[in-house]
Parts: sequence; C-alpha cells; structure tokens
Amino acid sequence: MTDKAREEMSALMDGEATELELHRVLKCSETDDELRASWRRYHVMRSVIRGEARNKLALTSASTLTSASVDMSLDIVTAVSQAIADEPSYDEKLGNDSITSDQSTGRKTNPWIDKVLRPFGSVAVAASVSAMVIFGWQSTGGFNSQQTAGGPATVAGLQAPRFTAPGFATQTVSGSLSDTSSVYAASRIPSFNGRSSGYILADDSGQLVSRSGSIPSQDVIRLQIPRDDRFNRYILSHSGNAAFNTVSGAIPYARVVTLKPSSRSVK
Amino acid sequence: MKQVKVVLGVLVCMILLQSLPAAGETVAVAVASDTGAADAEQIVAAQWLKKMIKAIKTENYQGRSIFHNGNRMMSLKIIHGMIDGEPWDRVVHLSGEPAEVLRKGNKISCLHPESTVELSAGKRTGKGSGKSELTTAKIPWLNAFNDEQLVIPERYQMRMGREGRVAGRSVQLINIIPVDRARYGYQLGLDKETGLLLKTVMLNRNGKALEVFEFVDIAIGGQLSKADFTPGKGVKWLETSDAEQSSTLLGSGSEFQNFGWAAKWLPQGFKLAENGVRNIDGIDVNAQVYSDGLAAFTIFMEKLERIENIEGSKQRGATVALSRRLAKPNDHYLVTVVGEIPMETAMQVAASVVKD
Repeated sequence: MTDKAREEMSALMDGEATELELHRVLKCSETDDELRASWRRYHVMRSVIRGEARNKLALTSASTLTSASVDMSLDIVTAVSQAIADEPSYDEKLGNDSITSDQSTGRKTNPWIDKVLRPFGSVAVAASVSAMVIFGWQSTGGFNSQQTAGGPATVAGLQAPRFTAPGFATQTVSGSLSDTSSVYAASRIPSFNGRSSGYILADDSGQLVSRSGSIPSQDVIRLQIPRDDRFNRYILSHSGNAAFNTVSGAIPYARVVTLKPSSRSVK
Repeated sequence: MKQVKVVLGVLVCMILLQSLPAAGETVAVAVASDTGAADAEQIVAAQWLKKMIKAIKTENYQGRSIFHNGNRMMSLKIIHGMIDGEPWDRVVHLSGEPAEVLRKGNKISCLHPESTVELSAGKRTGKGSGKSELTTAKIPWLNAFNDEQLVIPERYQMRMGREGRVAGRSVQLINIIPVDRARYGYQLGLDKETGLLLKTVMLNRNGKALEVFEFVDIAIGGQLSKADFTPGKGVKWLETSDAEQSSTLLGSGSEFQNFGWAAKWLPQGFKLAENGVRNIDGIDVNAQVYSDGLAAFTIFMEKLERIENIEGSKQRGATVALSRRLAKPNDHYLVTVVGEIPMETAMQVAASVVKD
C-alpha cells in the first residue's frame, strides 16, 4: 500500500475524498489486501474509541476471549479476567460426572496437574494481554515522537468514554466516514515546532482530564498530569473576561461559577 | 478488444472531468438564487441581536436559571441591573457549593466559601508606560452594535427560528449557524417584548448541545439598588481597596513584559480583542483574547521557571483548555489556549504560536 493510497483512504474516512479519490480507493481495494486490512482496522479502532463496539467486535485475540455479554470498552484486561473467571473450573467438571464437556473427556491427565497448572495458565493469558496493552502504549510513544515531524498525533473531538489507554487513541488518527466533523487527519494540523506530543482528549464531561504523553526523545514514558490548579485559573481568567468580548450577556458568568479553583491555589 | 477498453476508459474519464465543473456550476446557481431570501432573514435576525444588546444595557432583571454543561446541571440566581451607569451582575450558585460571581462594571469577583478570586476585566494593561499596542482593542464590529447600524457576524449565518416559550414568556428563537468548522453554533431565545436573552444553547457540528443556559423564572423591570448586589451567606467577601487591588493585580510593581510571541494562525473572523498581562497565581502571564463576536478564546503565554512537562487538555461543556510547551534554546514557555471553541481549533491555534 503506497502512502498515497493511505492518504486517500484517510481522506475517505474523513468524508473529504473527492470522487476521483473514492474511485481510486475502491479500485485499489480490489487488489490491495493491506489497504483492506487498514480500512477495517481503522474502523474497529474508531468504534472502540467511540464506545460503539459491542459483541461483534473483531479485535484480534481479545474478541475471542471476551464473552458475548461483555460490553467492549477498552478495559481489555478486565474483560479477559472476567472471561477467565467465567470459565468453569476443572474441579467442577470433574466432580460433576453426569455432564462431561468435550475438554474434560478429551483429557486423560491427572486432575492434580490440572489443578496446579490451570491457575498458571490463566495468569499467563491475562499477563499476555497486559503485555499487549503495555506494548501498544509504548509503541504509541514512538508513534508520537515520530509524528512530531509532520504534525502531532491527534485525536480530536472524540467522545470516548472511559478512555484510559492512549495507545489506541493516537493510532486512530484517521478520521471517520460518517462523522466528518470531529476528526482531523494529523497532517492537516500545523506541526508543533520543537518537541511535542499527541493529545488525548477528555470526554464531554471533562471528568477525564486527558494527558498528553509528552515524550521528547526519552526512553521512559511518563504520564503527565496537567497542573489542574493552574489550568483552572486559566479557565477562570478566560471566562471572566469573555463576557466583555462577546455578546452573550450574563452567560459567561455562569461559566465562571462552574469553574471553581481549588482553594489551595487561591491566595 | 483491448483497444476498445482503452477508448472506453478515456471516454469515461472525459465524461467525469466534464461533469465535475458542470456540477459545481449548478450548485453555485442554486446558492445565488437563495441568497436574496437569506439576506433578508439575516437582517431580521441582526435586528433581534441589536435589540438584545440594547436590552442588556437598559433592562433590570432578576431571575433564576439553569445551566447545563454536558454532564452537570446547576441552578443559578441572576440579578442584573445598571448601577451608577455601569452594568452590574450577580450570579449566585443555588446548587452545590455556595459560590457567587459579582461583576461591577469592569471588576469581577468570584466568591467561594474560603476565598475571593479577583479577576481583572480586560481593562488592565501596561500602566501608562506608553505601550499603546498593548491596550485593549475592542472588536470593531462588536462595538458597532452600539451604533445604529446592523452587524452580521462574519462567519455565521443567522436564521430566524420558531417562536417558543421560556420562563413563561414568549421568545423568538434565532439560530446562528457557523459557516466553517472552527466554531460552534448557537440557538438564542430572545424575549419578544424586551429582547433579553433568556435562553442560549451552544451546539457542536453534529447538533449536540454542549451547553444550555435557560431562565426558568424572570422578573424584568423594577428598581435595583446596591444592596441587591451584596453577597449572601456562605461566601466570604474580602474588601480590598483600589490601591491594594491594583498592586496585587499587577504583581510586585513589575512592568508589563511582553514575551514577544504571536499566533501565526487564527480561525477566520477572530479578531484581537485584548492584549495585556494578567497575574495568575502570582505569575505574570501574557494574555491575548480573540473573539468573533459570539465566541472568544484566550491565549496565555507563561514563561516557565524550570522545565516541566505540563502539557494537557481539558474539556468541559463548550469550554476547552489546552496547554503546550514551547521550547526555546534558553527558555521554556507554556502556551495555553482556553475558549468556547472546538478542540481542533484550539489545537491549531496553540500549534501556531511562535516565539520571536
């Protein structure tokens, strides 16, 4: 898949592809497996970020482990743990002779081995998923720092509930097919000169203060917590003055009230 | 056979190429025939806006309203009046923690249980040190609302909505639609009798309400005195003399220090409304306010004493805040953009800030 094809596909997902580009992407998709795979992957990521993904989610191994009832938020580890916990233990199966599952009938091993080894197996599965999540995070770090050349990796305007794994966010730079409003492709945002980072946004509630993983050529990835007090003071300062520069009357003051600085920051 | 295919392909290409500009023309024609009616509607809407701005300056009112910012709803008591020729506002938080905002002319105080936060209100600039470029520059068209002429905000389409009812009064709804994606849209509900703004809904491009402000009860008219603007119980009112105030506001006698920076990209229609220094938490910060008349954002520029990784962003309702570090060989700066604008816009503005 050429960069051009990728760009056109990204534009298409943004809903900004021209008719010619659309035709080209469709044409390419007939032959280019990689393009098709990317198309699918981007949409899966978008669904996950928007919290739309449900049972039919086909996100690599995680989906097979997630039971159908689990609402696929990004909390993969919990989902996996749950799936493991849901699986009936061997003790029960062996104890209950009248019902024999395929697995237990297929096995002739000593139940004691199962009893001892099984927990380790569970741990291993869970651990590998954790490892995957961590890996995703770190590779995003790399992604971020690479991105600074061409523009920050951004996920703009997403209303992702419970967003905790920046790894997924920053990879879904490309936009969406139906919702042309919310997402800009990274290349369209002017690059920050110097070192900077991607932003992961909070949801509408603002409860999840997003943290930008600022990773200027460092090996260690740190999660930055914005100085909330400072942030609040800035917001307060803006709101107080906004009334003088807009025609909205008393509404800006309503905002002022809602943005209380913590008492510590007030002199 | 192959030749036939090639010829067909060329034909298809030609047809496509020809049809593209043709389609463009038809769209343009359709728009052109529509503008006459739209213009007339804009003018009617602009007249309503003018009435609204006049009402803020002439009417006294007291009322209660709700304010919903996406995930939280609060109820407010609002008192507005002209005292000594200045607009005074008192906004009292009726739910949650006690808090009040007092605005007396250009002075704004936020009162909370433990403390008072004084906010400068746009008029504080370099103290007569001849730095005229730093003084507040009011947006021309915003001022133009004071005059007799009608002004239509540059980057919005105004549409007359239906009639509705707010706080028991009949209102005229006006839809203000942004023409680009750099700003939000509004639905305003103006009192039919007085023109007072009784309802505001801020909408994103998908039509989702980010912020709703609506009176539930309002009494318009009547006399208000200074006593009506006395803070209630539960909040602390710290009296400070003017002299004290200006010194705390301006920091320890420091002169205005412009760090020499500029935003290289601004969304269309946003104009510089204010340029000055603000003292935030004892630190002097450069602040530039830009407004398109309906929305405003502020760019703060702070010099960092030490290298800190304090970038991040926050969104609550329609307000976004975003910080970005600007590294120079010797200094480090923190650029923060706060405003009622989409995050993409804030990001682009923040990204475009350069230091000399």
